[in-house]
Amino acid sequence: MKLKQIQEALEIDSLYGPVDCGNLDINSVFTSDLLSDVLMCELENLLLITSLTTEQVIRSAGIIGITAVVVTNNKAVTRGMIKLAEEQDIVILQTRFPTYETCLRVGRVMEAS
Amino acid sequence: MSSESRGEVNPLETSLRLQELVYGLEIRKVMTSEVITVSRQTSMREAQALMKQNAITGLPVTVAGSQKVVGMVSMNDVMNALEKGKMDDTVFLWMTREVQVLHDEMPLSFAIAAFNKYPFRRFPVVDKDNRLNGMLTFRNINLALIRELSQQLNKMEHLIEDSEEADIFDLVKVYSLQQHDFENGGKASTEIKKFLKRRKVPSGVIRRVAVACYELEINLVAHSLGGMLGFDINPERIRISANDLGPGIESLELAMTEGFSTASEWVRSMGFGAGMGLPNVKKISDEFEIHSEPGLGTMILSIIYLKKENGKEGDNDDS
Amino acid sequence: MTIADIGKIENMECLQDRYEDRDITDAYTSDLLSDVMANASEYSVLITIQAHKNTVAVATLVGVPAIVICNNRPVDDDVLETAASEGIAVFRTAENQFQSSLRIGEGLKDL
Repeated sequence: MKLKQIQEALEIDSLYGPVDCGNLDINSVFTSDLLSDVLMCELENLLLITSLTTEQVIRSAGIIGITAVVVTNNKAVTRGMIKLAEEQDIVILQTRFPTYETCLRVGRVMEAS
Repeated sequence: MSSESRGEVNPLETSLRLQELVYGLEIRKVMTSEVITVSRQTSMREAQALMKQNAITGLPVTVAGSQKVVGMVSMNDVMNALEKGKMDDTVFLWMTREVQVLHDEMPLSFAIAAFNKYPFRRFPVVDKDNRLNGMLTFRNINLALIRELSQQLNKMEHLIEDSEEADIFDLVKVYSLQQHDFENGGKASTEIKKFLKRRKVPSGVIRRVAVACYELEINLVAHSLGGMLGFDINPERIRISANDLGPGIESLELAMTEGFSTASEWVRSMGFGAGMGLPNVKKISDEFEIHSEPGLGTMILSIIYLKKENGKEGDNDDS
Repeated sequence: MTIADIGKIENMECLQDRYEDRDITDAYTSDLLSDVMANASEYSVLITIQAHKNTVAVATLVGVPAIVICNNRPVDDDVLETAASEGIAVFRTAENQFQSSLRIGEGLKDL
């Protein structure tokens, strides 16, 4: 599936990433608020769904080469996160939905594609 | 990209590197092995004479046969006995009974922490059976430091400049980390990852290195009073070492158990402290070592092989 | 969907079955207990990786009657004992939080 499909499904309010990032491929999804688990995840073209809003989320994402991070619960994305994400080619999407609903919505897109 | 290179001599970098090297040494490689001891029945007068002859300020009191350390008698004790006119007393009556010993397999960083923590100037060193095996003073540590320093200077003189060259694989680098500095925790890992990427290391290996490094880095920031993360990279393997100066781990067995964590809710709320960090590092390392001593510190060593045939399974070679 | 229905989901094992069966109306996925405390609604099932005593404590406070532990994370006996004394069901699955959320989502859809 494409990132823009996810963006639509999640009625994304804010997106931080390059203009053409909607065309990025997402092949797998991982949900966690624990960075040790994120680090052990070996999936490729990965979308991370999390409610964490620390710079360490983006650092962890960079370490394992995550494509995009969805921040749930309408939590504020900090300037530090955005800067780190730019440096490491990671897209950040911010949604008002809680993690559970985000999973279901992304799950539906996945099933359809 | 970065202007850092091994060609430039960065003084801070060098001193950190030295500290890391020295911290990682086993105490037995640094201690004085030939120890002058006294027995419990030795008189204070004899003890004083021994100190004078050998120009030392303290003697361990041991039990003949078992070589167990039961006390330390110092110049101070001698002076007290002298003042009271009790030089014919046995050392047993005047010695300090609360002796802090160090184990010969501990890294030197633990000893340095002990010097900071206790008022003693010299520590008896014992082997795993608790038998006296040597003595450690600050002088030993200084000598070790000087020895490493001259080796480093030698190395620097023979250094080929500029590790930015993608075909030069050797890198020695040390990062200093402060307690609770979550802002900077992770920077070292990101840099090392870039370094390996430029050198076309298979992505599976890079991922293992970066993850091990990141977990150790966060571990230092979240759980220690501060410490150092060292890298020693050559074409064969990557050696990551984490040294801290406390507080040390109460139970290594628990610390290595998945799901066990002493993290505060504050640390947990940042996504850490799920008790998976150290078990994960062990899982992805080809060689793994951990030493810890409550009150003194923790040293962790992780080695990951770069040559695939020696390394762990499951490296997806898609570089 | 009732609590007992969670146990019927593929690969789901029930670790603590001393609970009173009742309807589940929603689900909440999170590994941050402070977040669960603030945002989870009553009668939700909590999907998490935190197999911690505090998880049970938070569930009790919020009125969450069932917990699903993901990734086959080990659960200590004292966690289960606490859950039993509070009548909170504990399930465990090898799947991660994303997959588990989808499974629970299917169950909740046809109630």
